Amino acid sequence: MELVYLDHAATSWPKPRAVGAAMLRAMTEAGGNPGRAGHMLAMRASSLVYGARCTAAEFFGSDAPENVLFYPNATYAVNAVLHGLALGGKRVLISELEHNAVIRPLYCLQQSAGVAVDVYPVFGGGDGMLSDEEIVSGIRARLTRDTALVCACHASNVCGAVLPIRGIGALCRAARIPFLVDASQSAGVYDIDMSRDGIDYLCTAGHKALLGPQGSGLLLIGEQAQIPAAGIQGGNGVASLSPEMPDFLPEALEAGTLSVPAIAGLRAGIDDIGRVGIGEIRENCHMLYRRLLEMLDGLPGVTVYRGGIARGCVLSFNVRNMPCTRCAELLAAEGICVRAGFHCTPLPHRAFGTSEEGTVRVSVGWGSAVRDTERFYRAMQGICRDVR
Amino acid sequence: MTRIRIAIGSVTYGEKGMAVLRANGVPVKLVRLDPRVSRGGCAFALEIVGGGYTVPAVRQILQKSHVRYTEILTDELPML
Repeated sequence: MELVYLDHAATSWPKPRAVGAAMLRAMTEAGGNPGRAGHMLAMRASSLVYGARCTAAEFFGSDAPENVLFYPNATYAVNAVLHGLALGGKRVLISELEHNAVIRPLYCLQQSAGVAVDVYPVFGGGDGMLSDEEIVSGIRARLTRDTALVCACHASNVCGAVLPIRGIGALCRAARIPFLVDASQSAGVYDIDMSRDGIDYLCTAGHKALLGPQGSGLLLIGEQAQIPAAGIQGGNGVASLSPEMPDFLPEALEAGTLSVPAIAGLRAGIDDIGRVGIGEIRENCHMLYRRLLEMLDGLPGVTVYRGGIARGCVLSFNVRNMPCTRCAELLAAEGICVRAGFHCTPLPHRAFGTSEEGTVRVSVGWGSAVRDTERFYRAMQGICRDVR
Repeated sequence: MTRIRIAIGSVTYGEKGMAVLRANGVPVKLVRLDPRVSRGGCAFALEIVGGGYTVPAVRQILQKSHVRYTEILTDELPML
């Protein structure tokens, strides 16, 4: 049975062929440890990693490849910033969309360092989401003298909500408050420009819409942004006789051996987005999202949790009197891959009233096609046939 | 033959410096630097051999592109 993969919010699949090929080439032809030795394999690895920094910098509108840091995933990138910025006793604003990658380190900092966390609203309004102006106003109203950071999850991993990061970035720039964007669900689908959007810290997964392998993630630091203190110290091939981490990027915040195959794969993924066109990818995702929404709206007993119509690539729903896990199980039996539960993101469930039951989540991405939605619809018709 | 070596703390700046110098037509290699020469141990160097390039010219190229380096060393290599 051919699989229908509708779990791109978890990780993208399949990857472009070039991604696997790049990883294999990295292992076979550039298998040295970058930045450690001067022999051919090490220098090839160094060159490969630098090239990937340049690719990522250009993709996100940065002129500084040295400000591109590689991490195993977005969670490590977010933690590097939150734990490194000396937020103790200060206030951080987060949106209702934030993933546990942001919520959990902040909770830890609340307990250990007296960080205050304030949530700015996103949900409400006619289509389930506040307008861009209302969201920015909500942030403005919550800024205080001790606000040290504003966080924004660019696109939700639970519903179709997409935040107005350019407007938020402009507000933060005017207020001289650092701005962190979690672009895990948006990088590779939406245009993001560090400079234009006023982003100080851009954290993203490499393995979702950037099409890289699992084990790849990025942190880009704005050229004027404060460099966080290193939360992890270790060797990186720089000034080995010193017990201190270097004070310049990227090595200030990269310790230990980098995953060169993952970085090579990530670069190939980003290159493929450039080949296809980010606009094409976005339009395809939006078209499929609207189809799924229309299909689900027409089925008996199905509730779709709105968070901005046709704004994202992710939607959540439930079938009346059916646990979300059961629905996902029935879909899996038909070869359809979705996720059920809370999606590592507690706050939208409070807004949707699904904090007890969770939701079924469907998410489209690169390579998703109309035939995928048609098979999904046929399966859902069968599931909903006997709904009371 | 004059050899210019720009001691660079990190391979990232080494790669950046190499790209920038090559874009300016300077034939340059990225090599490991003798630990006895580098301060703090473990460093790379951008090495330019011959070609009539001067330290001020090389320094200007690097500084214009914000390439961090530790120091610039020169010595004379015997002609072969």
